[in-house]
Formats: sequence, structure tokens, C-alpha cells
Amino acid sequence: MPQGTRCNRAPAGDGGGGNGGSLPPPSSGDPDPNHDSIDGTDIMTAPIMRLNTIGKLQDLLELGRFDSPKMEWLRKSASADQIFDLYNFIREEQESEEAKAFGKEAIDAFMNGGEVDIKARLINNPNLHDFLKNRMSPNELALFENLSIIQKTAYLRAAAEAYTYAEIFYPQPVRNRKGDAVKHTLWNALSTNYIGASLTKQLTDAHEEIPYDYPNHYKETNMDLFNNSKGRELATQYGNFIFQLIEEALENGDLRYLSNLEWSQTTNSWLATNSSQLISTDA
Amino acid sequence: MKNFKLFLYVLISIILFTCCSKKDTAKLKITDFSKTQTVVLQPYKFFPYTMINIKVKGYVNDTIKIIQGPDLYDINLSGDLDTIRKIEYYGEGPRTFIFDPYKATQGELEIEFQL
Repeated sequence: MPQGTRCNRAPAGDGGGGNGGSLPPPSSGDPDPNHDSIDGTDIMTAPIMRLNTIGKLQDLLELGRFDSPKMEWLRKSASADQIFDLYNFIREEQESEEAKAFGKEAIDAFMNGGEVDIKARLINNPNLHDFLKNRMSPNELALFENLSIIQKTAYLRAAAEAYTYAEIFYPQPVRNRKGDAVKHTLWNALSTNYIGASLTKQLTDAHEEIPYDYPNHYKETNMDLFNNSKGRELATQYGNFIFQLIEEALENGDLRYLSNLEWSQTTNSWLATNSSQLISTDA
Repeated sequence: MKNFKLFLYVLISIILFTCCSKKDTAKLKITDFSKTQTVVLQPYKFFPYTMINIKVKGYVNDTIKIIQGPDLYDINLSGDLDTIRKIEYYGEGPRTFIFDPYKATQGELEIEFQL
């Protein structure tokens, strides 16, 4: 499982020194950690580099005043790894809106004691777990209550990670579209990795057991069940590199979404119609 | 007529949405069964919404309706009630619910809506 951020590197291209590349943070054995030049070339020392990067994150992510909760956390509690890895990720993603949204959600998760795997783009915010539990279907909740504490946490973690990933990196609203396909596939793949395919199937099948809201709702259920199954299959076959495998499956047309959707003012989303069919994601 | 109803529904939704503060839950306590009541719920960004919970507790002497809008089925309930209805929802945007006394004239109900 991903455990927080992993790399220990300074912001790419922002450390001064004129080489335009990444700089390692000054080592603790440095005789004068606050020196600001080597061979006549200015470089930033660790505290300055940290403060500088926090300032850049403040601007990029629009974190508000210096004393806003997120800024307080960055200044007082965040590790150098967390700050530099987040900043580097956003830069590497060309400061896209998705990367910025990911950055903000990542900070929220860190503030709540959660974990962020930047490489896999997974955010586990434990603050959301109770919220997710409260929104299970009755049968899903009954099954969930019989799980061990570790299994419960892992199942909720998979849901939180998949949801956040799909909502950030795919056009909204995702319902019935490719982002929805990715969400269900990733949810089941991660859950399979955490608690096994059998339990995951029971729980996620039960999740779909709610009364239908409109005549073609059953088509949404068929889509969800197909992509859930694909997620479990990918995790069972390959185990690791789930994020890359699912993106690949999406491009290869191995996932399914619904055609001929109709915009609903009631739900602010695209709903299935009489002519909607499950089509492959390369269509 | 159908288009007019849809227009009216959207108009009410917009007015209520723009005048009310952001909230993803609401509670109605109903003792007056002579009028409808409307709630508008607004999701927070990137919250992992998967279902709307509608918790209904109390009693009514005949059928009431919770109207979700023109595209979705109404929820019809009657008698002694202590139930939770689950509705698929993924944080797509604001949602409006209208409590309609329909055939009920007496009773006491608490309805809690949670995105």
C-alpha cells in the first residue's frame, strides 16, 4: 500500500544555481546550512527553499492567506518531502487544473492523517470514511459490518481513492461516462488488492441493490457491474500498477460506458435513455 | 404543459439555489399538510458522494410524495414510517426535493435529506 509521499527531492528547476534541474536539499552534515553560495553561485538553503515552495503552492493552489488552515499546515506540519513532491507533481503536470485540484485534495488528506501516493495519483482521506459508510446500500452495510476493522478501513480506502481519482482527472459529471467506468474499475481493483476479489464482489454487488429511480436505471447498474468485474479481474491478474493498467484498459476499449445519454436538469447529469447501450471505451 | 412544468421546476430550483447558502443536508419537520415544501441541497466539491439518503420518520394518515423532479420517479409513502430511501448520486450538482402532502391531511413527519 502506498505510504505517504516517497521521494526526497527539492522542487524541479526552482532551486536556483542556474542549472535548471532538481536540487537535493542541503545535507544535515553541512557545516553551514544557511550558506547561500557555492563557488560564487547563489543557491537556496533548506529553510528558504521550503518557504519559497510553500509560497508557490499558495499561489498555484489559491490557498488564501498565510494563516488559512492549509497554509498553517504547510508552514508548521508538512514535511519537506510532502511540500516538494506536491509542488514537483503540479509542475510536471504543467500546472493543469486537475493537478491543482489533486494538490488541494492531497493537502486535505495529509491534514487529516491520510496518505497520498502521488505516482499512482491516489489520495486516501480518512476523514471521508464515515461519510462513505453512511452512504452504503442496506445490504452492503450489513456485509460491511461483518468485516474486521482492517478490512473495513481497506474497503473504505479503496472507495475514497477511486472516487477522488475519477472526479479529479475526468470531466464532470462522470456519471455513466468514461470517468464513471474508471471509477468503478479502480474501486474494485484497489479493493481486490486490499481485501480480496470475493469480498469485493459481494460488497460492490450489494452496493448496486437500491430501488431504481427511472425506467432506464438498470442500464447504469449493468455498466457498473461490468466495470466492477473488470477491476477485480485486472487486480487478480496483475496486482500492481493498477492505475496504469486501468488507463490502458480504458484506451484499449476494455471498459464500458453508456451511449445515447440525455442531459437531466433534475440530476445535473447524463442519464440513460431507451436507446442507450453499453459500448467499449475506445468508441 | 409538460414543458411549462419543467420550466417552473427549473426556475424554482434556480431561485432557491441562488438565495440559499451551500448545504448538503436539510431537515423538514412537517405538521402542516396543506402545503408543499421545497429543499435544495448543494454538494461540496470532491466529496465522495455515492448516494442520497432520505430518512423519513413519523406517521401520516394517507399517501405523501417526495418529488425528485421530472426525470425521476416520485417517492410515495404512507402510514407509520421509519425508513431510509437511497438514491444514486455522485455529487453532480445541486438537487431539489419537494415534499407534497398529496392525499395526506394529518400526521407528523421528520424528513432528513443527505447528499
